[in-house]
Amino acid sequence: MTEEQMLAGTIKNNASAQEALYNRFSPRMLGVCYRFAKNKEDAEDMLQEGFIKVFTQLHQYRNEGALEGWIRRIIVHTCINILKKNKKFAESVDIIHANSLHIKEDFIPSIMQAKQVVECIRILPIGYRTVLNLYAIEGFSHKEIGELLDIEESTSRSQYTRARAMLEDILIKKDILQKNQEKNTISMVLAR
Amino acid sequence: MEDNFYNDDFERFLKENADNFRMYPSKKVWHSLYNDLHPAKRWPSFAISLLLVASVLYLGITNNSSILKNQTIRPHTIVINNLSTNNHAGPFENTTALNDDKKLSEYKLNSDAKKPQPGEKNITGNTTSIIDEEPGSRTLLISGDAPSLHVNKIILSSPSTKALPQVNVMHTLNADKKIIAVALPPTSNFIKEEVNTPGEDVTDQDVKASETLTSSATASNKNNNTALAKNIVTTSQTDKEWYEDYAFHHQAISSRFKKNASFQFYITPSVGFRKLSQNNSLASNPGNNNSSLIVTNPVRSQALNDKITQSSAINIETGTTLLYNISKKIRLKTGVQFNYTSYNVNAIKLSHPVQTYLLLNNPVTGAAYLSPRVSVLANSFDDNNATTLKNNTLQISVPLGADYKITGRNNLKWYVGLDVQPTYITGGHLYALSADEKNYIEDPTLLRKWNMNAAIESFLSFKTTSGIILTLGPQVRYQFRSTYDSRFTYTEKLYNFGLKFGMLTRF
Repeated sequence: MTEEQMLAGTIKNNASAQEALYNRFSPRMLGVCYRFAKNKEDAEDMLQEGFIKVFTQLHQYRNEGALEGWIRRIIVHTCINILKKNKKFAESVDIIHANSLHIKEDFIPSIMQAKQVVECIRILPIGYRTVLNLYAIEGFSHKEIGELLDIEESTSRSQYTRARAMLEDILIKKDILQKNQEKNTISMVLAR
Repeated sequence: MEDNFYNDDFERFLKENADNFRMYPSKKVWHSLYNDLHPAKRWPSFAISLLLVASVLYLGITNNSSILKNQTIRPHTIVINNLSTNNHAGPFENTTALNDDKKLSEYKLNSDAKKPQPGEKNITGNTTSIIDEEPGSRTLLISGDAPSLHVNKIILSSPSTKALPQVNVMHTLNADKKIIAVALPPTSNFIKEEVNTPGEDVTDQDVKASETLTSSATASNKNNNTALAKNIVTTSQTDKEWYEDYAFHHQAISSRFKKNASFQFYITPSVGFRKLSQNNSLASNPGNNNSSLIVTNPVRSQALNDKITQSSAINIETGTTLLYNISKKIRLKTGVQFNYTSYNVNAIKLSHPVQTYLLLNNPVTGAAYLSPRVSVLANSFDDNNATTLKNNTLQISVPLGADYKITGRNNLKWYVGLDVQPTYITGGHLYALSADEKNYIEDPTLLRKWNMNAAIESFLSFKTTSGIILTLGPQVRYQFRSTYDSRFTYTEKLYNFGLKFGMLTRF
């Protein structure tokens, strides 16, 4: 089924077209949700809610840009809206965490690089993780993140800086990244 | 969005890795989505779901016990050989039990694994992992530094099956790290693979070339039911720690639940009775002048239940219950239960319809009044030439209750149980007694839709060698509200005496 057929069928509420669209994009979108969620079950809840919005709002898609990007944007906003319902999340994203926060390296799995990196992101505190996900991976600006999370733009910047430093530290400890002492730069150990 | 987003190698690195990451959602996500999008044709329907769940759970119980039994006799084997060294002895240091039906998080370290066969040796310094991301497939992943990773032979065996599985070597990585991934079928069948020779990369040809080995090995295996234990050899301390961490952080709640929870299927044949009484009469309405419409019953002075000829009938009850131990002696229970209730009354079929009346309660004033009806069934005051009218209902209920262990240990225990059952009556046949008690009128609209039942039981539970627990004991079930709705001036309470047979299994 082509993308056009999927789109047309889904807008007409055709179940097989909806399923085809879901099957095509759900694995990647669940990966997105997983980076924001506490566990896979929560990620699946986010995915389900996100796809309901996708299906009900698909008629608004104007073929401007990739469909995947459009879906991804809805999924990310759904994740954030779900996270914001949690009071602890609102607190954690607005407070600068203490430097003494320790990450236990043993928690990091060692199966595959992409999964490793995602798992490393997921062990960051929720506030750090969300800002890092939005800025470094989803491409939001700090201004957009501030509006989305109801925080100051400067808070988003500082959260990101700290999140990045913490993540770099984890990735280096895990030998996924290598720190070049002389040039004080970071290089990737594994070929991409 | 910022235009200079990819101004940083680190961010690009994160973005690329995150974009490459995929997870496969469970099927329930799509089913929930489908139900949300198509509420008119919910998939699957409630009734079919219940039936499916019951069937699957039942099959699960029977299959689990047989699988467990088979494992002790004919275990699967996954052995990874390294022919580049010639160490033929020594037990496996760390062995991970592989179960076809379990995911990674459920693997546990097993120090009781069997020793390797001559010619087989651990892959020292390498890591071995199972990943299970895609539904319906499993992947054995062997990774390690290239100089130390020389996998020469992968033997996957299961003497219990004959079919050849699809074993695909997925990929190898760069020179620094080597990863060999082997896709395992959902049920591992016997296969013996020469994957590569020392120092060579794994190729698809190597896999195909091994098919001839498979048939001969399968044949020999038929005569060898004492095959090797089902093991994956791991020697990496890092992986061991990772497994333990993973299990610790992902299994704690689930394990606690599984430890205390169990499922029960039961069936209770019983004998059903009823008690009929009157909750209102014309005498309670002084202004009523319709009394003359009621012809005096010749046996009106008798007790109500003696004026009708009624008999018990076989009832049946079946359901599933989730039990959860909250202490050593008490366990809570809930589930879904279906009941068929029945009793008989005797009547005589009239050759022509007669005018009669039902005595109903006025919902506003509460006073009784006569509602005209037509009947072709006369009350049989004796058994001669009587026709049996089957009064029955179909009920679905949700029992909520607890069991208390009176005594017992090991395999034999004695319990008492009590539960209340909010009940929905899905349908049935109802023959209502006329106001003058001379006729019966079939009027399904008088059937009360919601009711409340309670059951008390006492039973013995016996644990079989296969792990299934059988229960057997008497049960009494009582219906608190009338079968008829509040409009009818008669009140009917049903009660049953039955023998409950149950089959219980842990998760």
